[in-house]
Amino acid sequence: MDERKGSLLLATLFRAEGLEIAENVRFEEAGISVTLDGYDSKRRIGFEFITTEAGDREEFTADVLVTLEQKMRDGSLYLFLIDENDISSEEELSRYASMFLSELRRRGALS
Amino acid sequence: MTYSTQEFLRAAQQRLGLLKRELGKADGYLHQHHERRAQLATAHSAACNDLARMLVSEWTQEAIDIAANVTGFQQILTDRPREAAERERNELALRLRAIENDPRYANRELLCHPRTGSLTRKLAELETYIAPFRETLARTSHPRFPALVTSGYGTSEYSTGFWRVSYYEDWKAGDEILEKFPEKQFFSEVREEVRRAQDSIGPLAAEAERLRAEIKMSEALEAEHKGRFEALQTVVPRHLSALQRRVTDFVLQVPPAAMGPRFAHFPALDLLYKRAAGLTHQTQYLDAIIKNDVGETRTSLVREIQGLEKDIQKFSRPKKASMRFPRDKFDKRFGDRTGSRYQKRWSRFERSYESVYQFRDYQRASFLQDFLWWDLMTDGRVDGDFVPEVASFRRAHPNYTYDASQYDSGDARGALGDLHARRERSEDQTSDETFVDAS
Repeated sequence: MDERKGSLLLATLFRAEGLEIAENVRFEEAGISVTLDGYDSKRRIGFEFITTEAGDREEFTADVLVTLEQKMRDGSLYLFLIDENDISSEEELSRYASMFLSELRRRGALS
Repeated sequence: MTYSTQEFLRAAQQRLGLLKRELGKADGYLHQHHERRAQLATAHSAACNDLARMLVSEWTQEAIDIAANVTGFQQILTDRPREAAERERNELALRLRAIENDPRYANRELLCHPRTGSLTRKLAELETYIAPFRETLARTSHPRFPALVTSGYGTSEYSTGFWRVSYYEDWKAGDEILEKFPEKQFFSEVREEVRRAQDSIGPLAAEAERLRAEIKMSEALEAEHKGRFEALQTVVPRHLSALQRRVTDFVLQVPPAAMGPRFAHFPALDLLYKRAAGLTHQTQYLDAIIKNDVGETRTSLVREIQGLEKDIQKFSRPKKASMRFPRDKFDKRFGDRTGSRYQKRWSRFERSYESVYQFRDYQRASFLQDFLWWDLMTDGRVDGDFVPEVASFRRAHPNYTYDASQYDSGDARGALGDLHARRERSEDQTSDETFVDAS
C-alpha cells in the first residue's frame, strides 16, 4: 500500500470525525521540524504514514519519534503513526484508524 | 534427362518404405542381441561359479594351499584366511555374550513389551500427564504470541503507545488468543497458564525422552544380536565364498598366456577356466559386432529417413510441383530399389555374429602359443580389426597367422563332455552358489 492511497483514506476517515485535516503540514516544535501527511493544527490531531519511498525514515528518526511520543504521552498531541510494513490492506488500515479515533474519543480528545 | 516432382515423390516414398523395413530389421537384431547377451551373462556367471568352486573346493588349509600353488596366488597364504574367519567367529561370539548379559537385552520383554513392558507403561503414563500441557501450548500457537509475551502485553509493563499500529495489532492478536481460553477473562491469565505449562512440561518431556532412549537402546541391542547371530552362523560359507571370488578374480585378471599354462595338467580346471574366459571374450566380440554392423547402419538409416521425410514434405508443396530433378543425382539417391546393399550388409553381419554366438568349443583354446579368441570363434574367416582387442593383438604379433588345425583337441572335447555330465549331476547343489563376476 503506497503513501498516497493510505493518506487519502486516513484523511477521509479523520474528516468524517469532524477534524479539519490539512495535507502536508509543516510541524515545528521542541526543536523538531517535520512534514505531517495530515494534521488539524487547531485540535492537534493528525497522522503520518511512514514509507521508505517518501524518505520518511530520514525525517522521522528515532530521536524525532521519541520527542513526538513524549508529547502524545502528555496528551498535548495526537498523531496516528503508521509504518507501511505493519499494514497489508486498506481494510486493515481503515480498521486500525477507526480504533485510534475511538481511543481519542474515550480519552476526551475528540468529542 | 530429368525427373518430375511426382516421380521424385513416388521414388522417395518407395525408398522411405524400404528404409523403414531395414530399420525394423536393425531394431530386431538389437533386440535379439539384448536377449542373447543376457543368456551369455547367465552362462558366464555359472562358469565363474564352477571355476570358483574348482579353484577352492572346500574350507580346509589343504584346499587353500592347493589353490595358491595351482594359481600362483601366494597372497592368499600370507593373508591366512582361516585365521581371519576364526578371529571373526571369536569376536562375534564375544559380542553376543556381552549383549546377552546386558540387562537391557536380557529383560527386553519385561522392559519394552508394547503393552506390558515397564518402560512402555511408564512412558504412556507420562504422556497422559504431558498431554494437557501440550494442549495449552497448542492453543497459543499464534504467530504474534511470542511478541505479546516479550512486550509484556496484558501487564503494567506494556508500553506500546495507542498511536502506533502495533498497539492495535497486539490488541487483535491478544483477543484471538483469549478466545481459545473461554474460561479466562484476561490475557494475563493466559500468560500465567502458559508459564505454568512450560515450567511443568520441561522435566516431564525430559523424562519421557530418557524412557524413549532406553527403549530404543533395548531395540538396538535386539537388532544387533539378531544380525551378529546370523553372521556367526555363516562365517565359513561367507569366508569361503569371498576367497573363491578373490582367487577367481585373480585368475581371470592375469594374462591367459601366463595363467593358462598353469592349468595344463588339470584338465577339468583348464576347461572351466577356458569357458569363463571364452564367454567374457564372446560377449565383448558380440557387442563390438553389433556396434560396428548394426549400430552404425541404424544411425545412417535414421539420418536418411529424416532427410527423405523432410524432402517429401518440402516437394509436396504446390509451388514445387513443376521442379525437375537431374537423372544422375536421382539415380544415385534412389538407384538401390530392392535394398540389395542392406541385404549384403545384414548377410555379412549375420555370418560374423552367428559364428561368434554359436561358438561353444572353449576347450580348443590354447594358451601355449600366440592365441586370439576371435580367430578361434570365427575360424579365422572374419576380419575383426574393428574390435580393439583384435587390432591390438595383430599389431603386437605381426607374424601371427591362424591355423585351425593347431586347435583340434579330441581329448579336451571328451573332458568337456565329462565336465558337463558332472555339472548336470551336481546342478542342484550348485545352483544357489555365489556368482563371481570376472568382467
